[in-house]
Amino acid sequence: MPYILIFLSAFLLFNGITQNGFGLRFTNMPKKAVKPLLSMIFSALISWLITHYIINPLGYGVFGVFFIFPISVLCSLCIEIIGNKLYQIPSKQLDSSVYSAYDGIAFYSAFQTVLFAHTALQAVLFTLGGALGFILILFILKGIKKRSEIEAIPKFFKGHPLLLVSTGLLSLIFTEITPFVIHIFSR
Amino acid sequence: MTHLDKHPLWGSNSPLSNLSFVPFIVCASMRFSIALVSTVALLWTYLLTGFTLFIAKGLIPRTFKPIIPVFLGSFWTFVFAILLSMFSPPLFHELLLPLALVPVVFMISGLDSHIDMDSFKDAMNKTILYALILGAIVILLSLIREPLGFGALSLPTKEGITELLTSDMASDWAIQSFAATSGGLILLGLTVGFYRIFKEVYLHYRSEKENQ
Repeated sequence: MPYILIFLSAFLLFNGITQNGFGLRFTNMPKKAVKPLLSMIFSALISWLITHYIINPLGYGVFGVFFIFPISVLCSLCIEIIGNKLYQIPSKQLDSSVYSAYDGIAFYSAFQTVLFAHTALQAVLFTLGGALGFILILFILKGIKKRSEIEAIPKFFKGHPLLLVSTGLLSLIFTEITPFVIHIFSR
Repeated sequence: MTHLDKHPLWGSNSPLSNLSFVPFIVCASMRFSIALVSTVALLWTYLLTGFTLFIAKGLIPRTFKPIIPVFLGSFWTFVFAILLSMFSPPLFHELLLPLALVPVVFMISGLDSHIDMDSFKDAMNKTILYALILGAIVILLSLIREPLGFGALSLPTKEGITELLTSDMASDWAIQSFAATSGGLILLGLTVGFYRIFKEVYLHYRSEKENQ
């Protein structure tokens, strides 16, 4: 039961989009979110291992979080290069957002995992929960965007403003659901 | 028009046009004290990273050019975090996420590629301007979010976040959702909408001026 609770809390609460608005850019193109998603998982696991077994024993404590961003960028770079090799894209055509860990998505996933996971299993559950929650929100937002195209919305609020307001409302819903989930699974 | 496209406030990579800046704006504008310290952190990191990159631009091998700013930005933020924790450990703990996001926004802003091409004065001016614009947006949003969300206004002190202008009644009328992420995103959405209206008015004024 505690493991389900960890997974669901990561799925609902530690979700990059609803918690801070990470990766909103990908709502326009969910198919392009595959590499960021893989980077989220890869960088979270690698960052947890490095922080747990190297940085923490060296006594960096909470300052260890400042090492997470470079680690996430290196992990994102690995995923990008492997992805390009698989799709036979020339290696010089790297996505420029790789150097910001896909706009910080990979970084945030690693940051949450390093701060909240105490064991390797918890780290895996946190990472997978966060990644699946990210996909779910992307598809909900894509649905909202599709629907908004046929509704009468003022010109200036179409696109990004509407996306931000929708995400804010989704964030409100998810934040309110979480205590119920915790209550059900902690009994 | 292409000149305006590169403008730090009205251009396509402006913090209000580019969705990649949203996480930093949302988490740094939660409280006024967090916004103030985040702005100082932005200025510190942008300026020192820009300066170091400019000084070392001839020494960095071409292959490592895109990755070196990541390490430099993280290093200077790390130094700022150490200084902040020496000044006030509770304040540092409150600011962990916004501080950790500073090198991320530096990379998103794309300043590292500008520094390569500009003269020293231009590069430093641009760096300061980008940091100030992002800082100003964060501070302005925090001035709305904190009084409405917490019913108070806070300042960074040695003891951490110290609330000013608060009262016993404040918690009765405060709307907590404003201070939470949901309120931040909704408010930012409305801000971006109004920003677009102002941008169109500004573009119209500019084109009229050019025609004259």
